[in-house]
Amino acid sequence: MTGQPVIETRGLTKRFGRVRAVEGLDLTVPRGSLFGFLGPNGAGKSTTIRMLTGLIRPTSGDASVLGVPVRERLRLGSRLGTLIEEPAFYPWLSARQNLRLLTSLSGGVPRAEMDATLELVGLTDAADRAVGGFSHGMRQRLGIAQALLPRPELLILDEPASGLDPEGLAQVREMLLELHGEGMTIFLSSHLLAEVEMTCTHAAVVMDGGVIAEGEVGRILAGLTPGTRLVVDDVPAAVRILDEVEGAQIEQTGDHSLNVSGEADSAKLNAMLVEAGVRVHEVSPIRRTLEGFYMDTVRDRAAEMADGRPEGNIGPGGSGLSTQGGER
Amino acid sequence: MAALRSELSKLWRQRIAWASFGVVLALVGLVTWGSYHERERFDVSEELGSAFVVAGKSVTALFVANAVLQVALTVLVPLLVAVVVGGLVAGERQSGTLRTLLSRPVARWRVLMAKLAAGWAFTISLTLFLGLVGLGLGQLVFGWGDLVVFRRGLTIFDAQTGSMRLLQAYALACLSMCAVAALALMLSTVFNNPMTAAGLTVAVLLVSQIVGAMPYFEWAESYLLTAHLGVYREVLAVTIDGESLRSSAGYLAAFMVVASIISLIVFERRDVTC
Repeated sequence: MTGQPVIETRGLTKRFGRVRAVEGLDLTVPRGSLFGFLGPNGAGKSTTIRMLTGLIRPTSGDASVLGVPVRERLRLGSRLGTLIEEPAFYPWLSARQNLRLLTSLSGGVPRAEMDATLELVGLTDAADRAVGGFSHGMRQRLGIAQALLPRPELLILDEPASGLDPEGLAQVREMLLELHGEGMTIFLSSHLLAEVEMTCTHAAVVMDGGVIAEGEVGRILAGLTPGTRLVVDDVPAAVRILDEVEGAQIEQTGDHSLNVSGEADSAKLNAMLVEAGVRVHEVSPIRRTLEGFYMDTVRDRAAEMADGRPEGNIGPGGSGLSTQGGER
Repeated sequence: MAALRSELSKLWRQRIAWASFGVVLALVGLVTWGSYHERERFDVSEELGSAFVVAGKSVTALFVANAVLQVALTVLVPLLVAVVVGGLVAGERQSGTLRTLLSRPVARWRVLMAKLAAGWAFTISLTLFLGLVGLGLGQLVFGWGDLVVFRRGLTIFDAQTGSMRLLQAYALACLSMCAVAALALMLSTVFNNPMTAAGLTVAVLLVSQIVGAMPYFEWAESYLLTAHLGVYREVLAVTIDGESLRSSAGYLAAFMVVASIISLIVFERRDVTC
């Protein structure tokens, strides 16, 4: 993870008329990372990726990919491979013919390399079949294949796992890990937080057109406050008792359930409740997940936006993340 | 060259491209069939009166090739060109393949120029196919002979002169249809729906034709595209009006250049959002 970042944006902005799709986006993607770009629908992920790949012109701000400004994208040649949303191909051509046609625009690739890539994405058997008859998952894999031909330094994938079945998801995950293991930097947007958690080394959360948190996935997970989920018969009594625990944050999640976040030991919480006569039906640790982090971050941000007081440092406390303030 | 090869291969694999040739073939067949059954109507002896002795026949291969040119270039060929060329950019935008194409390391202007060249190649092929099939079927049914042209009276060219004039007429017809193709491509860069681009191309031609026919707009006629699309008829007169021919050909060439520049500017600047 050394050297110049592979993607760097500063104040990147895109407006469609009055609509602000991306606003002042600052993002740094380190070389060698497998970077997850997260955010709710309409957050500006796809617009950002389209700006990085030259499909959309930024309204203002700067962006560079592999050290080359996006306005001079053609200088990158085949160093950048991209898959933008659901890949579209010429349905009357076979998978191999589609790849040949697309790669011919950048000088073509040897047949052996094409065969190897088709094998990597699991399409060897279907290589000579018309793409019109392909399933969604097969087209998705063909989209990844075209992005890999010829083998790029940086792979940008917009929702590569969208619509895939569990087997397809596992195949894409394996493939990404294999490519990353070979030294390729991969930048991907995804809604599948569990997949991102399993594959990515870094992640950024984008919302309302700007990055609100970014960092290493390991540090995000390590920095999250642990917690305990309790199911009790008397929630008000339980809340009164657990309020005395130092540093504990209590959140009622149902008629009989509550989450207690903080460093307090689950067994100790259980003992306190039982001693006070509150019947405890279930005690379970809350797993620290990227999904939890994401949901907390997005919810906090939305609340701040609603209050009209967007501020910096909105990530869950102690996560070790770089979070960005809302100057927008 | 790779971009052009790719565009040509895509264009020739589309059913609508082959269907266009089928439609043209059907039209020529019908015109030949009709001409065969009504060949007496085209007998010029009566029209010339007893002062002239007419040897040979009026309906020949050259006659059929000219007849199909006059019939097909008013609506049919412009319509087919509008549908096929109008889909070159808008069709790919609608299906999403433009996104895949432009995310590859290729300059946009190269892609557009390749599409324009492929569109023109299709247009020229279709126009020449019309003439070749007309000549072929005409030769088969009526045989070789002079070229009789019914336009502003009657003109008869001997077979050799007629062949040359018809060749020039088809070359100019190609120029006219390439101007229509340039218009269709320009509208194709603006709209996302290929049918909108094709429909608007035809609409522009029809409106231009209607306006050109109204006496009130006589002053504007020379600026209208449709006033110059019939340039190929100039060479089918006994005396060719060189000035008028050069003026119309120049207008068509300039129209193609301007339409291509506008297409290029729109294609280069437009965001690919679908």
